[in-house]
Amino acid sequence: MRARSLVGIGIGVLVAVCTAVAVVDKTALADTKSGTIGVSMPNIKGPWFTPVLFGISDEAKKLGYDVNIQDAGGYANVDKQVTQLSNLIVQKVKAILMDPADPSAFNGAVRQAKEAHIPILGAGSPIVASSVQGDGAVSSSHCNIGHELAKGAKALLPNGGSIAILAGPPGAFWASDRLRCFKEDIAGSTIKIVAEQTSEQDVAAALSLANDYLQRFPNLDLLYGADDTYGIGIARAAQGAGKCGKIKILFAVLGEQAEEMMKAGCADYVVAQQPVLIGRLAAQMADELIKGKQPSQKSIEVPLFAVTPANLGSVNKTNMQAPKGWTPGT
Amino acid sequence: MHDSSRIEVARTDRRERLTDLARRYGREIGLPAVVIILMAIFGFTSDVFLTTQNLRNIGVAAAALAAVSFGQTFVVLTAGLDLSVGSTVALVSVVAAYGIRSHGIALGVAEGIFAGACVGIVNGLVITKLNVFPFIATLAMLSILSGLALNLSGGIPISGLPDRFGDFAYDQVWGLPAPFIVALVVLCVSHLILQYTRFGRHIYAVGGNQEAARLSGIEINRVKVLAYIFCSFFAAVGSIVLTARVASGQPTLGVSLPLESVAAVVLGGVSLFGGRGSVIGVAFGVAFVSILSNGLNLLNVSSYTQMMVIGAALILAVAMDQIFVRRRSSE
Repeated sequence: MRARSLVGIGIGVLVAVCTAVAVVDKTALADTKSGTIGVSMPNIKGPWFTPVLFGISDEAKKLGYDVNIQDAGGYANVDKQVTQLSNLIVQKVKAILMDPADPSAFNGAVRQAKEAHIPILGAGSPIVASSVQGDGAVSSSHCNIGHELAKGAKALLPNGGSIAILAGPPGAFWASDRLRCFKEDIAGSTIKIVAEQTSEQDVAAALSLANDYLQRFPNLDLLYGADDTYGIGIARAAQGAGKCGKIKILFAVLGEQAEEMMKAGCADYVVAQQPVLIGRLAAQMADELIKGKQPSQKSIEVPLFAVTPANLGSVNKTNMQAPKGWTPGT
Repeated sequence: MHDSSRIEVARTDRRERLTDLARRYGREIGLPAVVIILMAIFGFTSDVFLTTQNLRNIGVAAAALAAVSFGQTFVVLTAGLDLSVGSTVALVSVVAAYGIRSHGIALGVAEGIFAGACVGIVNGLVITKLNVFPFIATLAMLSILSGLALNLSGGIPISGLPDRFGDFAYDQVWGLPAPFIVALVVLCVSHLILQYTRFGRHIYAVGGNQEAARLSGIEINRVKVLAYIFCSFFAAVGSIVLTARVASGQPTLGVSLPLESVAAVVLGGVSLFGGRGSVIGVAFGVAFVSILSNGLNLLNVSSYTQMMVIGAALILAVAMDQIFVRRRSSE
């Protein structure tokens, strides 16, 4: 009887929570001024997505829009992201900004958005679908990031050497694009790749993998991280093994933690993107399209910066990092 | 007898009858009622929830989960469990995508489904011949199949599938999304097998009381292996639906399906101890999970919170199942 009461209370609480969340959200969404911009991301955590979302949210607020951020919960949930995109279309948002987990999965859903006359733009991705063109995009080319990473590897290892690679999440097109272009540039040089693995986009997983590499290749010259989640894992592994400065560490994206690791001497070359600027420009482009104007540039490529311990102090990080403590929804 | 006492007796009588009805049919009518309440809540709080387009979206999103859950029902009815359905979906997606690119849609789909059925044979044999617990066997298979899918695809999605295949996920038949029709067909086939065939009766018998089933001459191992084959076969059908939806072979597809399919099956009234439940109930379990997910998405609730809500719903369903089993054994 007591157990049955507990289950009854549990069901009651579940339904009450759903109702409360629903009512609170309806009230929140009712305060719309110029409408809502929908945002669809493979996930919203980490030093890349947080500043992009900050840029979008802050700029959209200035322009008088509400923002509805849909988070698929990881790169593996590509089907969920497709569903969430369909949900944004049903909600008749004014425009959709998205970073597709895999562009080849979004052709049908992007066609749906076009049929519903909802402008759809890449925010952090140059494309929204593999065979359907979006209405615009603001990003840094992943291939160019690969080229910049190769430039970094050559600068750090002028006489060549061995590299082990933390290639990014399995199945993530951005990570494979970066690595492909990186490999193109180092091909024929004296830099040799001795190991390469994909892993979950998680600092702990990256740390374990980097530790294994350090054990297996004690004379390794450089570790490559697809982004700073991997970079931080690598830097912490090198720190734990007392190898900071002895082994070179190279990765993309300069988040707060990456900056700290560089200050501690455990990161040597970071190809920094400007995610806050990407978010802001994407929101501005969406605003222009909503108002029926044609943006002056359909595809904006935001420049990259090479950050090293030598120029870390002088680089302006306003467009690279969200304000401390900011999270989507705050 | 005074009028007031008569009224009191009638009232007590009615209350007892209602309690008896709730006790007998509570599990059967409980979930449909909750689904209707949930729809009413989301219909009230979201302007778009009850629109035709959104209901179609729910149908499309639920189709793959439905196919996987109906397959999972076969296994759970034998008191087993298949945690490898998510990785089966990923493997089938990769195999079917390669097959479609090389041999055309029909043959590619057949190759994918055949690969799925083979997974079921391996699961069934490992559990019955090597006597490995279903939980451990299918958990290990989850890892093996996931690695196999990533290895086959090189860790990257397989694109370049014909548009006609991808369009299937967005096609409509009599106003209903094509994937939803596929789910309905799987539902009908599963229902017919479980309710009207000897094999179906054997599944219930094995799950209800394995020893009694053995003594009555049922080949338990054969029934179990077939149940795992059906489970993986239907998971493969779900995978084809998902692969069409994302128009590419995805080596990481279906990661949330093991939890969601078990949640749908248990919420739908199928006992984890086996031998009791129906696919019709599971269809309501699928509706609950899909409507909950869609409604929370429309209300912009993060996927992390959704995971918590689905997990909590699963615990509640299992707790209710335990209470039912305890009550049945005390009667």
